[in-house]
Amino acid sequence: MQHDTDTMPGTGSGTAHEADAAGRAAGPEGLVAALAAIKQRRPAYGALVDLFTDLLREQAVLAETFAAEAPTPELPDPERWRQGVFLLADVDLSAHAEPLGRAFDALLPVLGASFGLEREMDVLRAARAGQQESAAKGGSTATDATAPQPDLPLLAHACLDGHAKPLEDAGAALGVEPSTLALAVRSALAPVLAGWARANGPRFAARNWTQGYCPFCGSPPAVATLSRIENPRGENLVGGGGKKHLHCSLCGHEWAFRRDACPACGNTDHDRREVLFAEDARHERIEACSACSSYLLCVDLREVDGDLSMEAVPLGLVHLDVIAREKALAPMAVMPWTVLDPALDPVLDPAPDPAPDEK
Amino acid sequence: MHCNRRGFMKLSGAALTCLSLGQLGNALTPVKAYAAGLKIDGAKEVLTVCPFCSVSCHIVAYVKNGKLVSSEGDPDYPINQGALCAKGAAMLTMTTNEHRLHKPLYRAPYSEQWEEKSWDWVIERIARRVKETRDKDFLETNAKGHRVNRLDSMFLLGTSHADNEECALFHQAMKGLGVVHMDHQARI
Repeated sequence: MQHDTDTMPGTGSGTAHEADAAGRAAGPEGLVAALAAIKQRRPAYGALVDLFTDLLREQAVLAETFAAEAPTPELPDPERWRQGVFLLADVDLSAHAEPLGRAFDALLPVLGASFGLEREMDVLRAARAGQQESAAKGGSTATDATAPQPDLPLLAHACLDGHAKPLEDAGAALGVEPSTLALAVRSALAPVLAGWARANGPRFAARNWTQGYCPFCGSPPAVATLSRIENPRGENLVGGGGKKHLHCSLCGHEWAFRRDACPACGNTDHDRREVLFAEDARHERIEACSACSSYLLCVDLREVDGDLSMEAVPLGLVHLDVIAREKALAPMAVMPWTVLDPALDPVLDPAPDPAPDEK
Repeated sequence: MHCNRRGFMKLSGAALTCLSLGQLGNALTPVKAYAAGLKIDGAKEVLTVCPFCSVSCHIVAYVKNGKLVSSEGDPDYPINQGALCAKGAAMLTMTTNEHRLHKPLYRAPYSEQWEEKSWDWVIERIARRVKETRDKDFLETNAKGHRVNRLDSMFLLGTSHADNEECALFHQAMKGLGVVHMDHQARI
């Protein structure tokens, strides 16, 4: 919709004309500036943004490191790609214990200090130290150690696959709540995959991907954007842009998706999809689907000045999460800041995936 | 690696429950208060086709309570890729412009006044004038004696608001009368 009354200031000094069509500002500096802009625009976000700033900044720094040393997994067969097999579907993370461990070690102190989880993170740090000592003596991973040690590739797989058992077992062995362990593992996995996705994105950008989940890591989107005008248009034409891109909730990869369908269930019935927005910020939308009772937040970049840090954008839209939850809608992906009042929150019991013939 | 949405959601949600009882609750309180003060509006996004010419650009129409409230070009349609010409971009005003006629107006010969008429009156009048014209001017043969069965004194100017089926119907009706001069109007 192009009659917005409130434009969102960007993170840099550029104007909408200077920013690229995707409107992205990459890197830790862009992220920190974006977080500051959220607080400036909506002071109610002060405490929430402060709570997550250190974690997001450290993850952004790590992602840059991992992008420089990313593996190049083989691209899936075109037919499997067409059927929705994402790039990392066949990748075994056990070969990547080292970067996972590095991210884990770097983020444990941040998680402890930010969220009051010092004791739990100290336990995990001690377990990691034991693991590294064991490895230095010639042992391989957790299986060689007498003391309980986190098998990070196994736990990362568990997070991605949605299997609670490995996390419950490891949490019990380590003396840490499984939910806390899952938070630490997920937080470490995110920058590793973000770096890899950034490095590998150009390899498969030209391949058409039609699914509502990430072509790189298979995770659901955290937020969507409507693009700025990408191609020069004739002088007699107006409008343009508006192409929808989904932003992965885990690795941050962006991919194009059709405007007229729900990314979660594929529903194209316009009577069962609705766009909701605050009257003073129509470019920030809740895109709701009553077919699967889920929602995705979306920002229309045509109404935003300057570049955006997409890692920060969902954190600045939590007020729309609140409104969507009050309407008994579930987010397509759970972000750390979207754990709201349990009474409002259907997060832990999301609507089941639709059967293939319902898509 | 196998990822499914339900499992991913449950695990990522569970991963975060350790935050919900701590600082997160306090940090969210002002955001919830901010959300409570917002006035929320909404609309449905409906894909439709521009009625103005044969290019048939796709349009994303925003519809609220059955009424069009806004529109933009469909970025997924390969022809217009989100852009629209001036006529297509003005589709909203086609439905809301206060100058749009709601009833037929008739100006009698030599009159300077427009009169409001009913549709029945107008259709009967048009039919009568068409028949009078055809009865007077219908040409069965040309100067060389060839059978032509045509009516040169009538002309059909169509409308780009007509769809394909309506255009076919207009064309057949006019051919039945012998009219050979027709234009769709889309270029005007």
